[in-house]
Amino acid sequence: MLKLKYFYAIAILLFFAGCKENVNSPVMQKIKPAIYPDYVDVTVPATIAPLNFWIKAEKYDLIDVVLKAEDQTEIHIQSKDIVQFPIAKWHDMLKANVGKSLQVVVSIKSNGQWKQYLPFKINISSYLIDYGLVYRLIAPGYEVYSKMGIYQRNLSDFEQDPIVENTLIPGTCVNCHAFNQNNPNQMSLHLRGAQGATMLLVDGKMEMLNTKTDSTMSPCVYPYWHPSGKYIAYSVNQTRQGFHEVRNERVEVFDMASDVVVYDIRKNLLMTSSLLKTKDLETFPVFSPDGKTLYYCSAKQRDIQTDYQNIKYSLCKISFDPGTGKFGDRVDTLISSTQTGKSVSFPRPSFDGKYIMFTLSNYGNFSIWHREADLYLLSLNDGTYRSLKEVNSNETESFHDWSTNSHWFVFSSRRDDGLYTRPYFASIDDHGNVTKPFMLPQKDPRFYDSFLFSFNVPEFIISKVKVNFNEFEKQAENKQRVTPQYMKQN
Amino acid sequence: MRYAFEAMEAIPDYKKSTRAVKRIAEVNLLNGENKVAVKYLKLLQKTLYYRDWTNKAMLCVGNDKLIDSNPEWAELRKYRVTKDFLFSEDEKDQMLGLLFTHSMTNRMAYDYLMAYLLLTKDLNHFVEYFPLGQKLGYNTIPAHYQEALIYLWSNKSPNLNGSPWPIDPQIKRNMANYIGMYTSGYATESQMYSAFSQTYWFYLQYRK
Repeated sequence: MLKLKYFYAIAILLFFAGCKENVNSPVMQKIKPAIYPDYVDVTVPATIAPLNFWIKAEKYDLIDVVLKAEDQTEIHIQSKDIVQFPIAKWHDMLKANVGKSLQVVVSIKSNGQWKQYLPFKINISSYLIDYGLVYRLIAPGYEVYSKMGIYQRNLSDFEQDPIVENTLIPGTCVNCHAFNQNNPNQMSLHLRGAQGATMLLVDGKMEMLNTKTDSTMSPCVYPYWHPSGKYIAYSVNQTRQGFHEVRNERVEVFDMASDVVVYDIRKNLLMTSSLLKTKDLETFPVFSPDGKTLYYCSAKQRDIQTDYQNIKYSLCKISFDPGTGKFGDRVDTLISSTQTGKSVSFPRPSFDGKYIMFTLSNYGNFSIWHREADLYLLSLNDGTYRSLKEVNSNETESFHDWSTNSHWFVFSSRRDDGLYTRPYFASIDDHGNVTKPFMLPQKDPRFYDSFLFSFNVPEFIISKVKVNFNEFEKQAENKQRVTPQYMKQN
Repeated sequence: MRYAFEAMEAIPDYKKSTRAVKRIAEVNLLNGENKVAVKYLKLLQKTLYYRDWTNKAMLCVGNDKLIDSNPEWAELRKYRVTKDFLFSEDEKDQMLGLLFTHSMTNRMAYDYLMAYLLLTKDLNHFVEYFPLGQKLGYNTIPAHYQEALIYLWSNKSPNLNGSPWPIDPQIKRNMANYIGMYTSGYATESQMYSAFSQTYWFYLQYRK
């Protein structure tokens, strides 16, 4: 008898738990809802994790959301606070509607009265996106750093795993993770501090390098893999930090000197050219997808104290022969700072060879601290470039990376609050049309409100990164490092 | 704000400091960085001891009149510089100098500047900037300033009473004793420490 009572009680609970209140006689609004994150009319890949959201700006007792496909299948959510779509149903619905749009109707109830907003769309792109994203989580601080790490996130769900955290080797800084065309089997990252090293991970084999040679001014910095996997381009930089006196600007990171080098992995040889090691500043080298061109940024050095606002980088290129490792004998300027009056940083060629996306700011190279920094797109077909107005904001847009098929890009933006960097995604079609960006979804959409880390250097990956923590720790701790030979070509 | 942020990041167990968060929120609020200010204030609203302050601060977000109704905040906002200058960790004196010259009533900037010069033993600039403090409402010259001034004077003249600055007679007597003991050639550092550890002269000559 007692068991029967429990059965009825549970059945009643389950019955009411499944009940939803009807949205009766809602006051119809003439605007779309101000949901957070802003997923109104965005375009997403079919495999993206649920776009959970809430409405920050309004108080409500209930929120009712109907996500409806063209074939009238729907997901209906009702909640007291946040909207979280069931992940399996979400994926089924997106998969069944590739190339189509879902309609989202949002209603909220407060003080006993429902109101309903104009519906918005979520467009399901037919372009595939890569498996996941790798980023560094670090507080947007100044010189002192606390906990940080490099993490990977599956874009289809909310799973985040550490690749390396600095708690593994206390006091160290980890940065500059890079992959060969998003392939996690060819990876490098830097470890800074007493156990400093550049870790190379190629097909499961880990190696720790000391990339500081007697002939280079610093260990290697900004990496970019050659598509063959045989080379990595780096810069070497004498980087300093300055602090702004005025209230709305914080940090300036600048180079006193910098050169570009290419590391030949097979020969353990660090190479440069007299054209890449000049009295000017050269930095941010990247290879073209065919591996025959090295793009980089270059600027005239100026007095930091009096003239730092006139350090403006141009986008340059030099040819590179992957067979011999020889650099060309001529530098071409693709985008001149004298013409733009601005400064180029983070050039990133699309893998289909059509574009170079770059960041343009008023001066300097560390654009994440420049609120005016925006993304631009250079067409390699006709040499024209344009502001990516579809994705830019009044706050910083900075680092960016292409998906393997070059139809998605991820970029860092501080538009959310002006300080904390968040990853955003947008797609680009065959004609160069760019869609409204959307922020990396989180299981709880309130996540970003209290999260005190920036998402730094978001890089796509096509599958999960596998780093053996024990081996990493062991190799980092034993301090045995491979030091490259150095060669300067004429 | 930078130092509050750095202090928080320096906490060894990677935790966050409520006091530091409060200061960071406050500076962002005063600087009109409202979105970031709200982010920190919302964190503080979840605390027991900072909630009341935070709720009041939250009302000030984007409300300059309400911010300026707090005398301390109004004064701090007045002191903010408008002309940019890029300074490094080694150029605090320049940063403080510009902060002070922007608002010559900013006694705190002056105090920090003079303290910085004393700590870095830059007595030439100390004596150069010393007159700037005359209109800042000091009743007397701070003791360590007097010690630095009389030290400088002692390098010029053995007559400590001839100093152009109004130095307390007790400080002059201490200086004379210090000179006597130091120049005797017999005093050990430990003995000097026992007698003069609280003076600027000891810091100047015995501490790096």
